[in-house]
Amino acid sequence: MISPTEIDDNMGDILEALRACIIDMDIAGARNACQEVIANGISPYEAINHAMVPGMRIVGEKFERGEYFLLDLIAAGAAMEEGLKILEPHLAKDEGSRIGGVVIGTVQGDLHSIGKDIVSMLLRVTGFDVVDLGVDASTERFVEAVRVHKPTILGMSALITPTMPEMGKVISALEKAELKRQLKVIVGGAPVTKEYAEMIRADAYAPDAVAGANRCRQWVTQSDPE
Amino acid sequence: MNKRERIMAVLRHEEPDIIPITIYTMLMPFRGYEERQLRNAGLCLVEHGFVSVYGIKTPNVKMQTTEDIASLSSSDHYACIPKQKHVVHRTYSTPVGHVSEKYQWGHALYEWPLEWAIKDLPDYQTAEYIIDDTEFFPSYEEFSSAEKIMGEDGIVTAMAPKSPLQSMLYELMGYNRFAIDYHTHRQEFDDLYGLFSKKQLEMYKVIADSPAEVVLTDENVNGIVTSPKLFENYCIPFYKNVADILHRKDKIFMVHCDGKLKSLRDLIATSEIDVVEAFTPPPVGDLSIEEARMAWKEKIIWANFPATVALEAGRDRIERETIDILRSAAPGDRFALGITEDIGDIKSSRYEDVIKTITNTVIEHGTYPIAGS
Repeated sequence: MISPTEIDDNMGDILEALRACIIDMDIAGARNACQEVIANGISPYEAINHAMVPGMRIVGEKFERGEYFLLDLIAAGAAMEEGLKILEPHLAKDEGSRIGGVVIGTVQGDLHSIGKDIVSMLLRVTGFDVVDLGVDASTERFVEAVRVHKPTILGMSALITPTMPEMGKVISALEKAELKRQLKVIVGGAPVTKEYAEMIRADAYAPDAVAGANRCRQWVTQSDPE
Repeated sequence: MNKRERIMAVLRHEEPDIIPITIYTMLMPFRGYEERQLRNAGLCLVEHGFVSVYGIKTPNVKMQTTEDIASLSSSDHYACIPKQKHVVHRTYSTPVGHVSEKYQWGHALYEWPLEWAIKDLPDYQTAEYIIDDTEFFPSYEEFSSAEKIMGEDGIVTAMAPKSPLQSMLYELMGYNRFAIDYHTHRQEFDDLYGLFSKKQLEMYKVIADSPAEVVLTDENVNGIVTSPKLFENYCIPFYKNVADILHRKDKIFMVHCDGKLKSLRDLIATSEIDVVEAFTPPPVGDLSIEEARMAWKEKIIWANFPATVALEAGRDRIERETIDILRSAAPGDRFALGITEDIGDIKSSRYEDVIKTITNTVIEHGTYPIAGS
């Protein structure tokens, strides 16, 4: 358990409690803390940027250290999303501006979704606009989504070996449509390797969901550690 | 030794003449001369997926199934593996309520869940009713027939479903619901788990009485998804109960562990599993064969040839990789090498060539005992 640090003012206590709820995967607690945020006149933007996002970052660090696992990421993400449901109606139009756009999906022939879903969730809750194409997404759907949504980043996942070449087909199709230069492509999934990513001309390879989300953030902010 | 004897020698902790090189029958769909040549060269078959030694009935549950066929090409009729993209909807009606689930066929070798039966808390009660209502009965004829067909070319295993924890995760509720309910509704979660475990142990008693010598639990253990805490608290005690039942009848207990296992390494060592089946070394897995053999001194490692290598590499590299795998398992006791996952387009000539390369390399370099690297 994360103990709330000793902060004198009420706002600090509430934000600390909210951050701890994210880290502790406490869904009901996150909902209550966000209600406290609103009831006490705290800016929802403050709550997101100074409690929830740092909380998720700590969750990601715990994953990287092997203290948390995929299901913990999901539960922490669920706590964050539950809190966001409370805060979002109170966000002013110009608050909570997004940091970039991502199109993401699992390639054609592959129905695995866990890794892709977690990357999608991590990106969404930390400020990206995410267009999730779901699973079994064809090359045409990826290309069309890039054309329509003009994302900063395209993420593709393949969890079974025979579907890995689909990622290369999408990249080739983007190059042919002259859409590749406008975005970064990141690929991941259990059988995918760094060498394979290079072979298909992807810009990056993500060994796991947190590393993938971190890399995306790094691309748009250039300040986060890789 | 014939191919069956070779596999069984390893599974019984005896010395094989050559390290067994195996393939699931469902991954070898081509038939005829080439297939016969591969078998004659030493490729051992493992029939696991389609042979059951038990039947199931649920006297008080009514199941209704409907199917949507989304696409069907002429070649689909002739494929060994169903390619029709069709969605199966199942509704289970019980006196305490109903649940529904949705599966897709046509992408994977198995049906693939799109919607799970447990979608909300009230669904637990219905799921528990269905589990409690399930009765298992012996059904050994299909197995005996499969063994006769297999002959000396390999082995037929009795297939068991995923353990209760993995079933809840992958088949009953999906990972989102699983993660949330584990943290927020632990009592309901544990009640369901307890009932599921009790029922599955009844099933294992039927399996233990079957003629099968080898039992394979279709577990898909992956340390990234199943944390050490979950594995220790749920899987390890369950495996012990299963092993107690199977070992009393001299059965060999194999668990399909094809994911990243580094975080579970020490727990697997303490488990009652006899064979870590489909163990996948890097680059797909995260534990080397040397580390695994060191950690699991009492266990048999039935390794899976990493499919990524098969997809990326040419014949020379596949040969080198196979030799490296053999050397890393030197002298080769407690070790078999298998092809347990898709290694490319099953209809391509390359697919066949990869299998041939791995097989020939093992036969050439896998004579027991193998010299180390």
